[in-house]
Amino acid sequence: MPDRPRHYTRPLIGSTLVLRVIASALTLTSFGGMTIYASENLHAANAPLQPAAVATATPTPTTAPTTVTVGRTTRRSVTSTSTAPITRTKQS
Amino acid sequence: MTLSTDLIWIIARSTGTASLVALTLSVLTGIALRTGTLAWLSHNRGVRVVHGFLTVLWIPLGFAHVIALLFDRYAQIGLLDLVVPFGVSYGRLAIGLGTISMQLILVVLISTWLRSSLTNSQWQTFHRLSYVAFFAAFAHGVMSGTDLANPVVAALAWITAAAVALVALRRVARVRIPV
Repeated sequence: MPDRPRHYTRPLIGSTLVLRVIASALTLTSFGGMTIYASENLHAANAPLQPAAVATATPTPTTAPTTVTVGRTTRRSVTSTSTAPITRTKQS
Repeated sequence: MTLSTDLIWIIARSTGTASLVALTLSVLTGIALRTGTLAWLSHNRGVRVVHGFLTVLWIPLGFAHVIALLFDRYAQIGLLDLVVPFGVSYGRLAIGLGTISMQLILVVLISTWLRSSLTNSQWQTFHRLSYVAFFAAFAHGVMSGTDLANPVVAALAWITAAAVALVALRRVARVRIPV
């Protein structure tokens, strides 16, 4: 009994240039998309990693703008600091 | 937090994600060379070309990810942490897996550059470390990734892992698609 002729299916993409463009597009799309998403969502309250970043400022009895960062969230406000040092913690 | 600090943090996240995507494509095309999994997409020569080309994408992205984290004062990652894994004061396993992944990838890359001076079996042994490297990189991303709460990012991560797992299983089973 003669062998069946093998069915040869032409691949969808023959050009290596097109393949490289697709690979680049997938990578750069994820890079661009993630850049946009990260810049719009800079602060993650429930980030899995939380370095113990503690910065201590010397208390000065002045009315000055302070920056308190919580979970990579920057809140700027004007407060009077005259007692305890400001403790800053951030989340990744 | 200054603009540059924010920018470094954004770059660290975006390059980390994009390098994982490119690394996934690289692993997929690498496995496909043996299994013919992507025969429907392109001939083996095309898959081989893309497999090589992808290093041009994921190496700079991975490098930028590491450099950005080195400059991120909040991340507290030093040069020593690139050499000695699990030494960071927080998230030791998550960050250590990233270090392990980077080191294994370096071994794979160096062995590829030295391929002409290695026997085929030696080179294959080194190259198979890329499976472990990918697993470590993926675990690093899942355990330390800030953005996995986002369903799109989570879907992207798990789809890449599922794709690699499927073709790797196919590779292990040595099932070859007739071309």
